[in-house]
Amino acid sequence: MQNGFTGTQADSNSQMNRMTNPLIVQSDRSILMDVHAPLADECRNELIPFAELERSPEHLHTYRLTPLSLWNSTSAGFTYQDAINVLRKYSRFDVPQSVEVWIEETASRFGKLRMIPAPDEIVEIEKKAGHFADDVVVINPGTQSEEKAEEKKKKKNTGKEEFLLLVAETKAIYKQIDANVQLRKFLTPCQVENAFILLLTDRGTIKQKLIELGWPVKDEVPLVDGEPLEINLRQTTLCGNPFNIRNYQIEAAKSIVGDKGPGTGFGTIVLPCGAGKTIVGLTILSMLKTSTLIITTNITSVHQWIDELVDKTDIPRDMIAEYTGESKTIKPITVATYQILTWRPDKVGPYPHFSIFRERPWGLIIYDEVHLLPAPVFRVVAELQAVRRVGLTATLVREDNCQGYVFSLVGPKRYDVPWKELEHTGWIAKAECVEVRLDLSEERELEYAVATAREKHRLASENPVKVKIVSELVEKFPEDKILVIGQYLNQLQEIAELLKVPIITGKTPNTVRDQIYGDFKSGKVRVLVVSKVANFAVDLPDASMAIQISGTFGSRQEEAQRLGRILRPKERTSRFFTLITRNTVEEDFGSNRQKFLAEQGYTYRIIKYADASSFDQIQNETAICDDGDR
Amino acid sequence: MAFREPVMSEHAKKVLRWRESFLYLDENRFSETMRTYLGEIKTPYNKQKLVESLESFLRQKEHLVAIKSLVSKEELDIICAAVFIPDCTEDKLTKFFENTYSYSFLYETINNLEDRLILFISNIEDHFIIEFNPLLEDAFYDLISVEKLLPEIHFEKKQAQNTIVTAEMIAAFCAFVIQNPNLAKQDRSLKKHTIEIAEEIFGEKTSSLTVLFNGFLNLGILKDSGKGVEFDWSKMNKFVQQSLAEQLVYITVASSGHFSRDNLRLQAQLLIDTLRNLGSACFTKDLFLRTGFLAAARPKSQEETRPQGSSRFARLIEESRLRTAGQDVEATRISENGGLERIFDAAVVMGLVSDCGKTDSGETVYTFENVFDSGCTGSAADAGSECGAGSERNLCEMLTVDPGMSVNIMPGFALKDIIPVIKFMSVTRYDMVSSYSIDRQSIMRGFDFGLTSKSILAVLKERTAYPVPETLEVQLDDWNASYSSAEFFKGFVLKLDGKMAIAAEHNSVLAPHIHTVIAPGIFLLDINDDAEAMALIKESGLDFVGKIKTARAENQSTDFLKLNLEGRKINDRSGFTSPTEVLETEDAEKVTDRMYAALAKLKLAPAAREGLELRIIHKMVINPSQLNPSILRMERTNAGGMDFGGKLYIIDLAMKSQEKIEMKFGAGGLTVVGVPLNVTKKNNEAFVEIQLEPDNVVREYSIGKASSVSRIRKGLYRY
Repeated sequence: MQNGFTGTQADSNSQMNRMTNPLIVQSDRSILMDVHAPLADECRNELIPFAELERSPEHLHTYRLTPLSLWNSTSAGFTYQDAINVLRKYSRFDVPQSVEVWIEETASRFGKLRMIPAPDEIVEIEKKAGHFADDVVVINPGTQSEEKAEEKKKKKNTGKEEFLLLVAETKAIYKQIDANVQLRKFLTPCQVENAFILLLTDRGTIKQKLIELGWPVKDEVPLVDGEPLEINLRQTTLCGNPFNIRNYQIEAAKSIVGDKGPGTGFGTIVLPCGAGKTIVGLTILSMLKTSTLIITTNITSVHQWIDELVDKTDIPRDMIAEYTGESKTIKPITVATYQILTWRPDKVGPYPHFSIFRERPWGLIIYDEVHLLPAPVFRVVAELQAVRRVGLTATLVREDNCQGYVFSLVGPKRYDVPWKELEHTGWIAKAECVEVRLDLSEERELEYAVATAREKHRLASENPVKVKIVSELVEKFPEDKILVIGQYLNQLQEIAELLKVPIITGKTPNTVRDQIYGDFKSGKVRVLVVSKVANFAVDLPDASMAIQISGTFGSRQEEAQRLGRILRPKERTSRFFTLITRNTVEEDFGSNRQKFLAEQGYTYRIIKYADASSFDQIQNETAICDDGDR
Repeated sequence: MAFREPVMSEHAKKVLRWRESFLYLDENRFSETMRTYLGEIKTPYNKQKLVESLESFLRQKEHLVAIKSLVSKEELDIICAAVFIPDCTEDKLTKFFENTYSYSFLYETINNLEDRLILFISNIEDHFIIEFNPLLEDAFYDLISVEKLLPEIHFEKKQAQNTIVTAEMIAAFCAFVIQNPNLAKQDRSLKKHTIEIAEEIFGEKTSSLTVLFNGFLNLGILKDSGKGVEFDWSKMNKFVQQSLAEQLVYITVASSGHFSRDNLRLQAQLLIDTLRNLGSACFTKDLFLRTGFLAAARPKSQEETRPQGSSRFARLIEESRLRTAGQDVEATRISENGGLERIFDAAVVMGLVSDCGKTDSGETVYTFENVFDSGCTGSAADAGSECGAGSERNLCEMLTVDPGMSVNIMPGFALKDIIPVIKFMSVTRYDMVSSYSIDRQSIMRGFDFGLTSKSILAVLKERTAYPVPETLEVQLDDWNASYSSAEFFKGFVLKLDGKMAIAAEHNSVLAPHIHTVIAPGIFLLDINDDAEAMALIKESGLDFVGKIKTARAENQSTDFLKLNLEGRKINDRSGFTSPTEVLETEDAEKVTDRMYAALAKLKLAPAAREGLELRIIHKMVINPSQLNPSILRMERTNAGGMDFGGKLYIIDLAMKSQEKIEMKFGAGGLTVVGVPLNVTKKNNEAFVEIQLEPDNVVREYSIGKASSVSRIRKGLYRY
């Protein structure tokens, strides 16, 4: 029996060397990467294939190992041992054994369930055996009996229902799936050993449910190519500017298109606002050359997509259609809004515009601002698993925490670049976030003290001092194009009237909106007041300053999207001012709102507002920068 | 020239004790022993000469070989225990073999070993001690070792998970308690809601929280505040000065019960000694307990045994009390408060020992996580055998603060360096890197602890290599400004009634020193010390003010007693250190066969043959010359079934000789062992009252219903 009196001394040199390694692998499968470590860059490249970037603040970036990230890497030929080796190579401390075991177990699940086209003879046998009842098409509870009937009618008309096989590698896996009540509704046992037969339209739903069960499906059913479409990117835009696609945009597009074989053609791309997600979409389109449905957030965005298509591709304008409340045409490239898709005449009826998904043999669907994908659309997305699809977003944060559905239905995150990395390389504007703290007047303080929680937020948000500050900022920074963004229309109206500038709200007609945006772009208008309608996909290339006077409570993605309005590359530093009333709930909401951007490495400068001179320092810094630029 | 008393060797002293032991035997037993080994003895006899004859008998090589050959593995275990457990008594052996041998087996074997002259009972200062016969020491030299008592475990080893509680874990626990002061029920168990929150933060380490909580409570570091618990920072400051190993040991031991300061040190040292002696070998819980027993029982220097915490007078009284009660001081302390078993369970939870496999019989096998070697912080930074690395890290590498006000604490730092940080942060996740957040609430708690925005910033800046976000600096100032939960006054308070108060306010000497009027007649004075205060009062002419009254100062926390992390070996005595010989059952068979052969040659009555055969079975015959029927005293030892008279007879005999009996009820049913005290008759049925072993509880059993009654033969040497 050895005793503990003669303890062994470790080789501390090797340990000290390891201490400079960048990774710290945690038992909850999060991976911290010290960006200041010597091997950080090299490590990041090796980590990306199998771990998802979760946060990228200044010092420690957080990656996470998820079943999806592992299965995606496995499908790309990356083995679990490769992943473990990378972790061991760069880890500062021993990789927890539980994590290694988990990687091995999880990764090895990939490929044990395959989805393949069902041979016709099998389908015939099963049909004859009466295994397919008419109600095999599953409709979400409480919805759309009419829709169901319509689907059946269509199938009857086309006379063709397509089927797939789900094949399990072992009997044990087969039995485990067979025992699941939820899956049994979609899967029918068939004569092929360890296999189920299923409807093509249930493909997404089944994959989603199996992923929830911890069983990834190796989908070997080829995606449909859709209607061919001759489309190429221009070398010089229609406006006459040279058009060069940035490297990361090409990489992002390639990450979706791949070799067009199984396992490619679907996914989500996460790029900061202003990084050119639209260009990535156009690049994918030009690579796949197929009829495409683009769904975005609002009509302004629809118009901007169409403008970009016309400006940067050789597709004729008459082959592009707008499917919105104002115009409902369908052409080889159709741009629609989520709003029109989820419109229905009554609260419980079917969604009539879902038909757009089946009107043409689409070869590609682009979900712009995919984090806003409305829940009712999930079902359609689930059915359209045979079509190539891409989700574009800057902030993969959903306040309803449904981002998991986005990943499993649209596709996993294929490309992600930290915001600050693009800022360093100059692809997005350098932005400074400034939080301005101001006091509530004494009269309002009393009102605030006795108000309800909701009223408190409004009182703090509508602090009259904010109007004064906006006015001072507009005056102090005459070189900037300024967006004033807020939540409460009265307050916005007051500012617009005070500054004598245009205002855009939800009620502003689209033609007027486009006119105002045009004026803002051209410089005719220097200051624009916008409500939350401008939160997303508003292309304002020349805005260099945003003043956020109020927001939707603690919404992180709203904060990020608003910052995004000023991130398009420009020569001067963009500034994002947020006005916060001190010692009120706005402070807490503000700190929550700032979390996403803080995680992306943005720091907030705090100014305690006393009077207009509080901004002198920033004004001086701006002046120095401007002189330097000259 | 002064006469020098010759120094007697330890062995010689033992031989003397062995000889003396015969003098304590009653006549009957003495003569029976002598007859057994020496044959017929003539009366009147000279005891001294007979003992010398017995000594000569034993010194004969063939007898020594025979005695040794007949020893079984189990008997050797008991012999080794008698050798290595200092001042060994039947009670100690019972405790030592608690999970290995039944009480009746142990009792019978000890008595048999006495009969076989292998063990004897000596009287040392009125204590009856079981000792190993010194005349057999040479013969048994290669057979006896402490390893026999602590055998190696054979099992399939799996890699033990490093689950040890780290300094970061303790710090995270402290932060958690600060955030959730009302975390426990009255019985000190954690509330369901607390556990739910804790699981999100600590994951699988949540189980350690109960041990940490109870440990800190019993150490007095946590105390009841009326609204939950709060830290006694003075004690905490002393605690964090310990090494991590000492901290873990103290928490582990304290979590198993409330101990006096001295006793806490003894128990903590015992845990260290036990683990150190187990070293890198794998062990079962039983082996741990045995090692612990040996470690506790090992002879100690005066320095070790002298209590360090209490006053000398109190110590003397305590030692005296225990001695008067006939108890071993050390043994008493170990048996108090649940003992080593609870400490072991806590050590498992704390990760000082971790599960590394199972034996064939399904017993869990553990290994010891060595955190006792210097420099080891116990954290993941020391993973593997990389102790020392953690201690060389710079304080400024401890944490990172990001603009979202989340803080990451790196592993490998000492508790004393982490504690100042957790006072103003909320723990959000404990893992290799612990995550905290800074928010208004956490900072307000920090302010409540007397921190300021400046001191908080200083603590952070000292521990990070990167600039603290400006947001945080500004935020801290804002929060500091709005912090007004209470005002603390430090200074001299003058309390005066009615008119006197007015007089004081208008007193030209006193008035300038009134800093604040706290309440009518209660003044806060800006005076520096007692002398100045008394001088001022005197000068002011308020001569009715007596001497200064102060609140009774709380006792300053005392330092934690230092522990010897090197541990102390349990096997550095007796000279039996290296077992080279193993027991051969063939040797025993040869001896027995020889005796049976000799018995077969004798012409004997069946009862005499049976009696002598019984002696061979009991291994008391080592020379054929002992097979003499005249030395036999025929006795019946058991009766059963319908033989009611026989059962009653056995009980009666046992009562007279104060021997123990074993009663069985039905096949595989209840079995009881104890000394019969009384036989009573109720409703045509006889009952025997038995004082049961080992608890000494007295119970009554039906004699008629007993399926068997056996006398457990008591040794020849009565005590």
